[in-house]
Amino acid sequence: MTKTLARTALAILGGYLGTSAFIAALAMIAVATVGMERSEAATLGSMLGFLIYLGVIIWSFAEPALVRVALWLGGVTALSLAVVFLLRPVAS
Amino acid sequence: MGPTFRASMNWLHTWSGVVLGSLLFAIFWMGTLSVFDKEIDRWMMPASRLALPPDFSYETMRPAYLAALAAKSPSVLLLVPNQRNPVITALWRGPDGSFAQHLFDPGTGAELPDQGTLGGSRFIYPFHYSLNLKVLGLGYWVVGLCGMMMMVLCVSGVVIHRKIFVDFFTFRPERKIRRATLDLHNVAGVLGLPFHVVISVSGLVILFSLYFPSSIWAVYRQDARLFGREAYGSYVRPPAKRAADLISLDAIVAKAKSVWGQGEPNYLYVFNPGDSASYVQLNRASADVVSNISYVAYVDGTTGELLSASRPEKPAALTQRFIAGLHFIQFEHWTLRWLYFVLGLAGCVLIATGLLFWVESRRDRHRRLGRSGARVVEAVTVASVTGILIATLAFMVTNRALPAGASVLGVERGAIEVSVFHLAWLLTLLHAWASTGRAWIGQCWMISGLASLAVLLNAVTTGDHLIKTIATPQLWSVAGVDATLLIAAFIAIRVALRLARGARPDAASLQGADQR
Repeated sequence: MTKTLARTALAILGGYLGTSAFIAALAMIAVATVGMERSEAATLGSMLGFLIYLGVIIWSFAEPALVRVALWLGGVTALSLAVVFLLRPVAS
Repeated sequence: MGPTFRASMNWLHTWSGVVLGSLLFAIFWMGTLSVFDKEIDRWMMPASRLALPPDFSYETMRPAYLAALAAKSPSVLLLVPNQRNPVITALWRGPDGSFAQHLFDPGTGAELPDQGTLGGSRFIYPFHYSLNLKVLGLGYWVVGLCGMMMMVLCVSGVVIHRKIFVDFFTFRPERKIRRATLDLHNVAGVLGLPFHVVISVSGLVILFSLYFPSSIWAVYRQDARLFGREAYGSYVRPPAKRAADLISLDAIVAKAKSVWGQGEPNYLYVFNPGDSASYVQLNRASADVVSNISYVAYVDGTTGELLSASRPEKPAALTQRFIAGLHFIQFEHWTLRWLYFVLGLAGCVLIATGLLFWVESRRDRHRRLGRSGARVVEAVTVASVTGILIATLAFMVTNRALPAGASVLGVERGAIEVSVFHLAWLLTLLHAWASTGRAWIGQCWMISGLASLAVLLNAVTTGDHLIKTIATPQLWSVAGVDATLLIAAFIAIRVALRLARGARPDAASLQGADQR
C-alpha cells in the first residue's frame, strides 16, 4: 500500500514537476538555438507537456524498480532546471 | 505493478478507472449536455425563446451597453445574438464587483426580465470544466487530472486489449451480465477511441497556459503578461479619464469587417466604456471554421479607427486554437453537433460499464470474504451514473415547477435549482447504499418519471408543447430538449423492466453460488 502510494505520488506529482521543468528547458533551447519566437516556443512546449506527462505517468507505473523512476525524474528535473537558470532568456 | 508491461497496464487501468470513474462520468455527462447548453438555456429561460430578427442592427445592443455604463462597470461583454442564442447577452461587473449576466431582446433592445436560473451555460457548462468548485481554482486542477488520467486509461486500455479488431463485432447481451458489461465497455471504448482521445487532449490544450505555464515563465520571466500580446495580439490601454460617447456600434462592426472581410462578429467587448480611450474588441464568429478564435480586431470607441487586428498565424498558436476549437464546437454544423452528443454519451457508457465490470467481477468474492469494497463501489457507481442523471433532471424540473421570481427563505430560484441538484444527488447515494442490488431499477424509474414530468411541466407552464415546438422553427431548441427527455424516459423504462426481469433469477443463482 505504501509503495503504491509512493509510486502514484511519484508519477502524478513528480511526473508533473519533471515535465514542467523539462518543457521549460525545451522552450528556452528552442529560442536560443533555432531562434523560435518566444510565444511559439512557450505554446509548443506547453502543448508537448501533455504528451510528455502522459508518457511519464505510463512509464512510472510500468517500470518495476521504483528507485529508477525516482532517480530518472530527479535527474531530468535537475538538469532541466540547470538549463532554465543558466541559459539567458532571449528577448525577441 | 506487475511482471509484464501488459500486467502493469492492466493494474493501472483497473485502479485509476475505479478511483476516478465517478468524477470522469460527471465530467463526461456535463460535457455531453454542454454540447446543447444553449438549447437547455432556451428550455430553462422561456422568455428567451425568441426569433432572430432578419435584419439585426448592432445598434440594438446600445441599451445593453448603456445599462453597463450606468452600473459603472470597467468593461462590458456584449454577445451577438445568433440562431442558437437569439438574445443579446451582456455581462458586466455590478457595483459590488460581481459579474452579472443580463439578457436583452434582439429586436427591440429592451432588457428581458431576470430569468432566475443559471441554466445550461452557467451551471452545466462550468460544471464540466471546473465542477463549479471555485476555491483556489481547485476544480480546474481536478478536472485537468481527470483529463490526463482519461488519456492514461485510453492508452492502458488499448495495451490490455489484444483482440481490438474482434472487439469491434463482439457484443453478447444474452450472456451473463458480467460478459455483456465487458463487451459493451469494449465496443464503446474501441469504436469511440479516437473521440475519447481527441476530446481529452483538446480539453487539456484549451487551458495549456494554466496547466503547463512553466514554458511561458521560462522564456518570458518577469514579462509573462506579454505572452498574450505576442501570441494572440491582445491590445490594452488604460482609460483617459475624459468622458466621451461610444460611436455607432454598426460603424464599429463595419470597421472590423473591413479587415476580415466576410463573417459577423460573435461578440463586442467594450473596454473603458464612456471614456475617450474606450475601445472595442471584436472576434469573427467561427461559424465556418474549427478554430474558436479566427480573427480579432480592436476598434477605437470614439474615433472608429482600427487599433489592432490579428489572426493566429504562427504555427503553434494556430495549432492550439484549432485543437481548442475541436473541443468548443462553436462552428455551425448540426450533424457534427449531434455526433459529439452521441459520442459523449458513448463515453458515459464506456465509463459506467467499466465501473460496473469492476463491481460485477468482485461482488461474489467480496460477499464471501465479508469485504465491503464491491458494495461501496457499487453504491458510488449507481449515484454517479443514474444519480447524476436524476440530479440533472431534478434541476430542470425545479426550474419549471417554480416561477422565475420565486424565493424560499430568501433564496432565489436560481440558487434553489442548484441546491436541489446537490440534494437530489446526495439522496441517490443514500438510496443506492440502502437498497444494494435493486438501486439501479429504482433510479431508472426515477429518471423516467422526472424526464416525463419535465416535459409535462414545460408544456403546462409555457404552453410550448411538443407538437407546437416541432411546428415552429424558432422553438426547435425546446423541441430538441423535450424529445431527448422523452427518449431518455423511454430508455430508462426499458432498462428498468429488463433489470427487474433479470434481477430475480440472478439473485437465485447468486444464492446457489454462496451455498456451494
